[in-house]
Amino acid sequence: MNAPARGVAPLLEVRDLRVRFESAGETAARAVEGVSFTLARGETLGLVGESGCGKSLTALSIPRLVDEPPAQTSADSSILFRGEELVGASQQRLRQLRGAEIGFVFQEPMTSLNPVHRVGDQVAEALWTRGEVSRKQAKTIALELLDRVEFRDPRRAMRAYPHELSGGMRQRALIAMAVACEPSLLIADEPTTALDVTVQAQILELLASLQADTGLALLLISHDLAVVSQVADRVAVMYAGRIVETGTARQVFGSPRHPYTEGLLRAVPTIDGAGGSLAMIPGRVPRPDAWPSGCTFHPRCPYAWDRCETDEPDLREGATSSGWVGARCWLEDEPAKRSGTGYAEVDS
Amino acid sequence: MNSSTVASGDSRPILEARHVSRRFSGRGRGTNSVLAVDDVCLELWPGKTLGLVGESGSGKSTLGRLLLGLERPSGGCVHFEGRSLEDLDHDGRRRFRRTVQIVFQDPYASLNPRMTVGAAIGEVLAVHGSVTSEAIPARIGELLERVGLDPSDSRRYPHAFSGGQRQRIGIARALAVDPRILIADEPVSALDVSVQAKIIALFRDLQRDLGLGYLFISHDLAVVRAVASDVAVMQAGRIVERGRTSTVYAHPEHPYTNSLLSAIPRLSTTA
Amino acid sequence: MAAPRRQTRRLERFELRGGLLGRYAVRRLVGSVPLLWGIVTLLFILLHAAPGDPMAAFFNPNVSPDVLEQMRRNFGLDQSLLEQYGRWLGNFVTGDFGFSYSRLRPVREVLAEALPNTLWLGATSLVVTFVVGCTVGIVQAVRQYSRLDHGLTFAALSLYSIPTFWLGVVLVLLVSSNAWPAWLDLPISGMQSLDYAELGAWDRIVDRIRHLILPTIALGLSSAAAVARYMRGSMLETIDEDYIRTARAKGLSERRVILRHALANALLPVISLVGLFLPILFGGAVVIEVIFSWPGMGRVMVDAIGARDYPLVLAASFLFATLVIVANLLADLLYAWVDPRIRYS
Repeated sequence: MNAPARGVAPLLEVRDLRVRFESAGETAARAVEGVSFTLARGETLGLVGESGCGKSLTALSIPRLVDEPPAQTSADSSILFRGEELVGASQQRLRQLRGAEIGFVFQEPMTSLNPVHRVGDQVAEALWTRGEVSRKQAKTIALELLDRVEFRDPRRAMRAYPHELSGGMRQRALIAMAVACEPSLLIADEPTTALDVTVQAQILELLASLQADTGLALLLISHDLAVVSQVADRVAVMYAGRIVETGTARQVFGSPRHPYTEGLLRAVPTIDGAGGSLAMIPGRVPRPDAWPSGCTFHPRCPYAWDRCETDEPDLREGATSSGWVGARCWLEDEPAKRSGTGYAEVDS
Repeated sequence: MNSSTVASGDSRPILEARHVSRRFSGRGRGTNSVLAVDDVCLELWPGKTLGLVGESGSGKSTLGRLLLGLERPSGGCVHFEGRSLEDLDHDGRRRFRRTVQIVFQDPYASLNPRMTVGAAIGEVLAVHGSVTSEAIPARIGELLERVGLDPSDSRRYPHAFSGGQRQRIGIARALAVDPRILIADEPVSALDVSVQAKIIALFRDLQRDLGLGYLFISHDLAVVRAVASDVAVMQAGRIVERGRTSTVYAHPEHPYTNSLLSAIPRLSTTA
Repeated sequence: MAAPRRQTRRLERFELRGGLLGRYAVRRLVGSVPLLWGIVTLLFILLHAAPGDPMAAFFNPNVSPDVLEQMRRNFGLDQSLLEQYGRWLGNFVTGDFGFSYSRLRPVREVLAEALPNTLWLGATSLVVTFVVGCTVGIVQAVRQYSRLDHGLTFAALSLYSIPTFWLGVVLVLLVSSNAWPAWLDLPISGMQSLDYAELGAWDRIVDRIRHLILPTIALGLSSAAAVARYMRGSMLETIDEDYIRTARAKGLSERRVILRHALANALLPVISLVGLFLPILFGGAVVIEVIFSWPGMGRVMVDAIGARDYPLVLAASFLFATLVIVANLLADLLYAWVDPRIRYS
């Protein structure tokens, strides 16, 4: 997925990322299979898909936080961050980049903070351990950061232990930690999934305002299409380790090209829709060691024909009147095949 | 059995909370006790679904436990077929346990990993003695088919199933005793979107075919919209608003309901 | 600069919760009184039910039966069991532990001499158990499945399977064999050399430490092997936690991730082992003190049991039980100190 040429090198360029899981005596399970995308400064890319599609693994691969072994990244994969190759980079160099240039916010605020250390120490740690500021200065900055992420009483939050904070507050602390060194890229893996809706809205607002302040690029991983549609400039939909559709949020969610995206969108209940029209995608996500031949989605696709069973489509991207779009689907060649009733609906 | 005939045939709710409260005393000095459920009244009818929405800590799960008799109210009482749970005799309690069943958010945590699915369901059947021991295997197969699984799945262990399939197993186990009310606590929250839609469909099918009544507890207002004809909104232990789901969502009267509804991200296709 | 600051902060935390913890400690100690009473009473019954008599040691053709009978009467052994028990317990609670039949000295004196020696040996063994055990466990976890890990696992399991007394005897044989290098010579008996009194202050300390080495190894090593197994498991579990990934995502060095973020959490379950291992250590001390002629409680205990010296056995057992209870309490307080989530109420 190459962004239209803008004359400026993108902040992040992932090219043909392939990650496998080696297990003795078994065929290697392919978990991420040829994922490519770019992310420009100040831009937000939403990576969506259901569990097991490889989106979290893709995210963790960027700062090389995936344990190898058991995971194994193909040598042909390339992750260029500000032009620098991260695949095969030294641990020392990666440590310099982690936190400082690439911030990471995880899904589980309840378990992602160390229970035995004070929140303030955990935020300050990312700063002073780099040796650029003293411990005292780091604490001052940490206090400002907690204020920035809207703690009502940042001084108290500094001294608090994680168990004394609510889920939303912990996620704020984790965000403060992730942006402490003013990274240019923030990767947020399901940052609001574990939170209540009202808190979720606040956290999304906070991320947006941080982005507006500092111009950081945001890679937002979520299974929640609505959340992504609210925040992302561009969207990539993943299925079975591949990006199957990409485009601006409006294109992907407004007029999905890939049948999987279409099914997902129609399966989400909404608060204003009548409940009866939920689509059901038949079957289930295949396991990484048992991906079907041809298009990996064909057994579940209501439009599939024989070609889909044998040949794997490429992600074909290009400029259209409405922008840069692409789908990994043979329907791109033969749009007339999108016919019939499509997905079955609940209660139909 | 059609749901409407069931509803009209019964003149009283199966399960009813009358001014139920539950106070948890604070542990240690200086911590105040918490009123997790505060003077709640609600009724559960066969063939009908009441959605119970609220954020974490609102007391909705505690209310579910009170209705199941797993927790004793500190005020008010829960009535089963018109009689207080406190007053039920041995047979009455037995009947209550068979009539009201629970479906958990995480069925995996409630399934013994070393027990095959068939054994887990068979155990329930044997304990309640509703079928003869020779009829148990056939009944297990029937139940698995009922929830959209294969009868041959009874020989497999829980880890061999996906999240959605485990939820189906959890539902099959609840159905084993022919309940009339299911209390479902966040039954689809841990599932992927595409799986969620299918479990919602299963809940609807079961209601249509078996005339089950549901208390559908969820933090997800959109899911509740899809399954529940009526909704109650819970905040800090109290039910602050209730009514027809479509009406409440379209014209929320309580500011809390309003803030919940407006916080939900909507799929924006016109960015 | 860093260390003292951390220390003051820790102290602060301790003081903040000191009130609660203190109250908790007092309640625990008061609660253990019935337990201690039960232990000594049970022992009293068992000892008196066992065949033999404290006066048996004095059987001697030169002692007339009349004298023996007189001695019995003096010690109150002619009274009924209930009377003996009542009198003994009455004295015991006032701190009068009675008179040792076999040593012909007050029990209090005998124990006052032996207890510090055992505490020394117990303390060094406990330190070895946990310092060696934890270190090995951490190294194994960090290098999981490496050759080092497999080797240490094998060594730990072997050590753990070896009985303490056998290890003690083998160490004695090894060190006293001709093949043992002279420069590594270590004393194999007693707490100090014969010429201890003539040594200077520094040499005395060195002499004491040299005498401690072998018994400490014999006593602490197999427990250390067990602790290493626990620590390895606990550390591996901790390394998988989300907050460890968070720490790595912050760009911290692996050293800091392990020592600052994983260690404190991994230690928590191991701390509660301190209370479990102490009785094992004391049990081992009884044997090890005999092998290394260590003048401690273990030796006293073995001798006293052989001599049916009831007051001494009872008082020594009481002390052991008290030590175990106090150590368990200390372990729990330590746990609370490390884990801010614990609030004792």
